[in-house]
Amino acid sequence: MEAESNSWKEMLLAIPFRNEAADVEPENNGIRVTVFAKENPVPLLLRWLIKTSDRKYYSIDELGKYVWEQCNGNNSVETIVDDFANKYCLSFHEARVSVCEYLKVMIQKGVIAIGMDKN
Amino acid sequence: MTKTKDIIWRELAISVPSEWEILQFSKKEENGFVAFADRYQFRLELRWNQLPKKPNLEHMIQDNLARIRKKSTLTGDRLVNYKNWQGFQATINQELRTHLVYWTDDQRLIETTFIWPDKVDKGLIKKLTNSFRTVDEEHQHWKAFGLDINTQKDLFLDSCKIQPGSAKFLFQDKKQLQLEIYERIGLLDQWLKKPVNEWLKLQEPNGVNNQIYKETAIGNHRVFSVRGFISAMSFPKWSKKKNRYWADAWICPEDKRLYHVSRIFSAKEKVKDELLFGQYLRCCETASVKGTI
Repeated sequence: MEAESNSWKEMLLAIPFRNEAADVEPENNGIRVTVFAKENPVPLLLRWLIKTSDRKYYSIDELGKYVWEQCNGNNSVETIVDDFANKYCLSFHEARVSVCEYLKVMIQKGVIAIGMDKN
Repeated sequence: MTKTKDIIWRELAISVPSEWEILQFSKKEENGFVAFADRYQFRLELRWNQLPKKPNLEHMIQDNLARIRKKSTLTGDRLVNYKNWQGFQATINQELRTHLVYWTDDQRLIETTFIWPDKVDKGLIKKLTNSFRTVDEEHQHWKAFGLDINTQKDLFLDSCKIQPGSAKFLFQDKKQLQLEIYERIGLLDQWLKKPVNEWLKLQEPNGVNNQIYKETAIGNHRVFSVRGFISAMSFPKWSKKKNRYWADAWICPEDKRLYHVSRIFSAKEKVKDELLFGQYLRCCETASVKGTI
């Protein structure tokens, strides 16, 4: 069988948390999230010359805002996918692909973190 | 009782549990596959292979088992039969699978692989294998991703783009004389800022002329149509009325998605001015009623 047989169930059981240190402001239909930068991209010796902010800003659209709001530490990825599918009239896997793409980007930006149940 | 839905792909029809979705597919005609998944994992792969003559299925199953035994950990293997389907059930690399083969009247070897999360569901195998059939209709019938398409027999599937909230099939003939597009698009509140008739105008390819726009009500569907002419799709393009351009678009009240179908075909073809809605593309039961403009 060419189709990968591994399951994505584990990923669906994960619980995403919002970065509590992030500032959130409304922007158009979505939100603007401000987080502390993980590291300064400018080398130490050049920082007197190139001023950079220690904060980073990310614009999240309406769909991303919904995903962000659901990441309250109580909802599993599966619950968020189900709610997203109901709200936007999508099939489960259409919603899964969309939600996971938003989560992936938000994790990379440090806007949310993922927790796994030990059991 | 598990609720099922019909899928028709490459003139092979099968009823699968409603919550299963196609996650992988190939659009090849001679040999290819469709893989279905439930919400947690892949559950079924359907593979076809056009062959010049029927192979010895018993030998094939034994060869297959021997090959798997060499490469993987295989335990609890036993031969199984479900009506005209035969194969084996085994635990391969700690995964319980049922592998069945079937020979169709149109010379195709069908191989199905069921993957079981815990135990084999014989009832489900029976239900699925009983529902399986080859489709030979007047038109080329496809049913997948929420689209129910009846396209011309002489067209081939040129592309099939599936994204969250969007499915698009494009068919054309080898001489590039005809073209048909079928689309189903969701998330309308997020991007559709114009009325459907205005959106339909934006889908017209360059060079469409002598357009007539109409609106037809069928059941609770409001179908917007354009009928016009267009020059040939390839050189020479002398006549602006070489081909007809027909397109319909509507929002299905049941699933709240936008459906769009368009055809480019020879102006010499004798046709009644019927809607493409229902005849070429169906969204739900209401759309099985043929409409005339």
